[in-house]
Amino acid sequence: MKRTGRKKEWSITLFCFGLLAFFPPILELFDRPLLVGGFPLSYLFLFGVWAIIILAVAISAKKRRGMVIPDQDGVTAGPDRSGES
Amino acid sequence: MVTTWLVVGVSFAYLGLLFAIAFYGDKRAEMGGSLAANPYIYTLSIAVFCTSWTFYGSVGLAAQSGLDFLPIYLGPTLVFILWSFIWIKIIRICKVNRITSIADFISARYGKSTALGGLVAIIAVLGTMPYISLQLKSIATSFTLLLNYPSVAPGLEAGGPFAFDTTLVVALALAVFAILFGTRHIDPSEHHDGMVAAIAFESVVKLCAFLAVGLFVTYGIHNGFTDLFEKAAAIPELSQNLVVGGEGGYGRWITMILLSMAAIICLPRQFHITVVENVDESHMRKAVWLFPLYLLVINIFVLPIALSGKMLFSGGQADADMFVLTLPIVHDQMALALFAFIGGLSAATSMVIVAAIALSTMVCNNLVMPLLIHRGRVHVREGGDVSRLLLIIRRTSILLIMLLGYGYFRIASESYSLVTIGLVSFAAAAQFAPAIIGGIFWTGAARRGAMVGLALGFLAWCYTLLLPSFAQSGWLPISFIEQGPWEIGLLKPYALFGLEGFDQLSHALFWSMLLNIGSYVIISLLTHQSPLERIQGTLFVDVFKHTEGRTGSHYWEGTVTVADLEELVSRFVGSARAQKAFEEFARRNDTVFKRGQVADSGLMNYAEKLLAGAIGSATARVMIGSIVKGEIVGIDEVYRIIDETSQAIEYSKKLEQKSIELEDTTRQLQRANDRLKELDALKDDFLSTISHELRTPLTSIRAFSEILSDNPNVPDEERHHFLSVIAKDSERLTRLIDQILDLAKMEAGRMQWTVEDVDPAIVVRDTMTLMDGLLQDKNVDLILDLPENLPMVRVDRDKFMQVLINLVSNAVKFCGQPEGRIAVTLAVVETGLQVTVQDNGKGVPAANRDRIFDKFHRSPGESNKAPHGTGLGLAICRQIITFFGGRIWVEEGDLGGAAFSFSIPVSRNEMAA
Amino acid sequence: MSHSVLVVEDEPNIVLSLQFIMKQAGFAVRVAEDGDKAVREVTRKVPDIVLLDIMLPKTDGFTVCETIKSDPRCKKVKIIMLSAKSRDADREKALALGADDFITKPFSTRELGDRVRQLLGLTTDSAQAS
Repeated sequence: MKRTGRKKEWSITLFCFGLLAFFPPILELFDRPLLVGGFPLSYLFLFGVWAIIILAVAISAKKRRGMVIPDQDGVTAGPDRSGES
Repeated sequence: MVTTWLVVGVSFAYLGLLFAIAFYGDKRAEMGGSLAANPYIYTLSIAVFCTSWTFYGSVGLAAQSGLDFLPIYLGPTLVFILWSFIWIKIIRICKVNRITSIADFISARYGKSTALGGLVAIIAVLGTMPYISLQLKSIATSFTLLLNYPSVAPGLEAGGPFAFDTTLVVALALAVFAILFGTRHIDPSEHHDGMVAAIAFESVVKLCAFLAVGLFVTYGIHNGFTDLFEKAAAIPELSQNLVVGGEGGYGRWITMILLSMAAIICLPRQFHITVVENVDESHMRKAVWLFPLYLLVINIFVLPIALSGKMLFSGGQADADMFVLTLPIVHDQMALALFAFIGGLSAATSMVIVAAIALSTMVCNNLVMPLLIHRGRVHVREGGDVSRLLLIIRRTSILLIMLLGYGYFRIASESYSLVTIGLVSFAAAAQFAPAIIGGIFWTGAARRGAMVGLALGFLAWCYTLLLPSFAQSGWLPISFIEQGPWEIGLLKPYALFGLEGFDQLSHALFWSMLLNIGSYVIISLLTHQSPLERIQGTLFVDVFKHTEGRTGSHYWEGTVTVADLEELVSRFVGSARAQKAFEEFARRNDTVFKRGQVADSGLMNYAEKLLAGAIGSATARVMIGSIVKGEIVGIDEVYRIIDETSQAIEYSKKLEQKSIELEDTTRQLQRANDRLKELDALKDDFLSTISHELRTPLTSIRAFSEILSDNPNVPDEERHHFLSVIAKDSERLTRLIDQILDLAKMEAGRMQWTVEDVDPAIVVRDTMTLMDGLLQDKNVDLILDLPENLPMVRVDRDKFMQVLINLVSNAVKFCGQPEGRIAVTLAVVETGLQVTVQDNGKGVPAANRDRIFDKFHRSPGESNKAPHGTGLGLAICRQIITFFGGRIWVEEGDLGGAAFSFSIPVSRNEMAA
Repeated sequence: MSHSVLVVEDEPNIVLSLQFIMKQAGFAVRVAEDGDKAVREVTRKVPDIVLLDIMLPKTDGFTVCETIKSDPRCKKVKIIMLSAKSRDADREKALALGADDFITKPFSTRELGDRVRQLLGLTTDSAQAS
């Protein structure tokens, strides 16, 4: 993964990837009673995707030097206080 | 065959070891070397997610329907991808607001609502009940199985009296264990270092035990994965177990992924372990991938064990939930079986311990204590030690929670598989998801929406999952399920309003979530948030904004002054009390505060505590936080918050009375505030005028100095004149500065006065002698009227003289020209001695008579150039006379000009004589 | 030809100093002690530059400035406002009303000379000497 500093976007992308892979119809493509190399295809597919996700999260969660936890918070920024009263 | 005593002995030895670890962990923490402050321990403790359900139940489910056991672990993995959106945010919110449970979280978010906290606690307890029963069931079943196999067919033995005892004994033993673990003492931060260490240890044990069984099955019984899978694939009935979407399609799969996503956040014990027990946000960076990895590893052998079990017991004569145990037993591996049993025990006990601690905290803090306080049974404010009471409440609630779990086991669990029971709990916990997730991303989410959403979702859960489970076990008539209550078909709990074609779980989740989310959103949109809700909402949603750049709970320093803080505090507790409290703080810390001084964090925390006593801690924080950032809450907002606060803690009768006082105070403050604004404008003008008055003489001094230094050839006469101007203006400047200082001293009450009995006649004569030169210079006639036998006055002689000099020199300045006349008259009047100085000048227009005594007042016609006056003389006179207890005024005099008069009281000695 | 300057100031000592400085610089100097007089003096004979105090008896300096600047005959008249008020608001107000410069009291006589010459587009040779 390229270190572009857009962590938020990366994690959302990864989340969507996970959702796609674990839900039909993508799941259906691999969900067949076949053995591949002695392993059931569904089993291989699910554990494989799972492992990839874990690896990707591990890389993205690695602490970069000089970075403090969330440099928030473009996505969830609420309304201005002054605008409320 | 193993003996009862061996199993019981090993079990208790294991529990003893756990206790030792916990004890050691607590000791280490006390000495500052916390074991829990470690990302790996933290990760392992989160693995409390894997309970008997995982250890025994997954295999059971895999044996029944293949890969369907996986969604429960894929969901959490997906949630952990979004860790920085969700986990870090929730953790930060809880740290900042000192939140100690999920009930606390939801109640704090929605305006510190007590009712909401109570509701959450109730849902949590009832929702966890099936989950605990699942653990009890697994321990009891595995225990019986290990002892009796194969003499009693597993899964069927529950009817015997022995099994009844086993489960109850297990429940009671676990209750005692949880009490020992979680409630040895009350810790305000709700950090249980020892418990976390023990849970982490349990996670290691259950993982090792499960992997041991898995390796044995895969490589001991079969020749590795491929051998096992190929054998299974050859059996037609088992082909179902190799895929996800069998006959049932993917509906249940999707439901379970979504459900487990909610559960990993909303299960009370997960929330407790992940959020409340977190000591360092950065540990999440490790946990975020290590925990999913743990889940992956513990699941690798689930399918192999299930397939192997199915092949062995092809007739279905063994309980698939217990394959982990029966497979080693059948192959005569009693040591492995015992290890597996301990693994299962560790999985169950870890869940029960954490759940019991989390739930008892909630029941105590959000249910029982508010009720007791409401009933007036506990007076927290009166001091006294409530921690004993808290401990008793928590211990009792742990016992009750375990008994509830046992009751559910007796009523409903026996005939269900482990996973089915667990999913009922998941569905209950998922009801919290809208309120939590909505609460951290949507400022507009309102208390009523959360309340109604939770209540309706919970009712739907009861109706579509809990009650039917009673019916299926025969505690309710089975017709309740089949025909619906009162034979109303539309109300059938598994096909509500005729909705059919879903599995029971998806059906229940659909209705409960529809009602929950629907009412949450719609009612939030319809209702008006109170200011407190809005503030709490902003505080939660924008938690990073509020906490950026600081760690822990310290405020930024250097942005707020002592005066700001004191003003804020006095808005709520009254200015006298605020002042007293601040003085006390200064005395205790051996310092002196200046009003403009920047407040340090110690003082800010102190101020927050002062406020917290009146308006609650969270709100106090908001208030302090808002002035720290310079967003001083407007008086209207303060007013509304007071109003809201008094509602929020309405059960405190004392505070209700206080709110009336507070309203009053607020109104007074509002007036004071207006007055302050006026004074501020005046102060501005005053400073500007002083500046002008000082600059004028400075200007000519500087100009002439430069002229003289730049032009050495100025004629002597002119040079002389210029130098005299410089000298005069320097004098004027000095006089002005003296007078400003005098005035400031008098106004601040720091002037030194030497008050004594003085004969006014002597003072007046002395003054006139002093002024003689000036009078002759200006060619002014003086009429002096000094009666005999004037009474003594009690004044400061020099100041009295100063007043006379001021008035006389003013009169000289303004008297008529060229024939100036002034008169000084002394007389005894009712109010004491009256002195009048008048001239024959133009007089003072009636409109200006009051304001002429103000600082720097000049009547419109009066030119600056006229006298070298400072504009402060009369103001000083008024200060002095007021100090003497008299008054000064101006009117039209007999000579046609102004007549300045003042009266001062005569000396008491004189009156006595 | 010598330029003419009108000094509008009510403080006699400051008038004296300004008079001296301006004469020294070769200007023909007239004096007005209050605002009304200032307006009359300007209309009587248009000066090249006006040194205008703000706090004046009768009509204040701001009004005088506005009056002068709105008079079409006085298009070329430069105005330097002198004030003992140092608030930014006063400076802004003065400049907004058309004053060409704003000098805070106490002022440096050299700087005052420079600014006057600068406004009138004169060489500053004599000032450079110092």
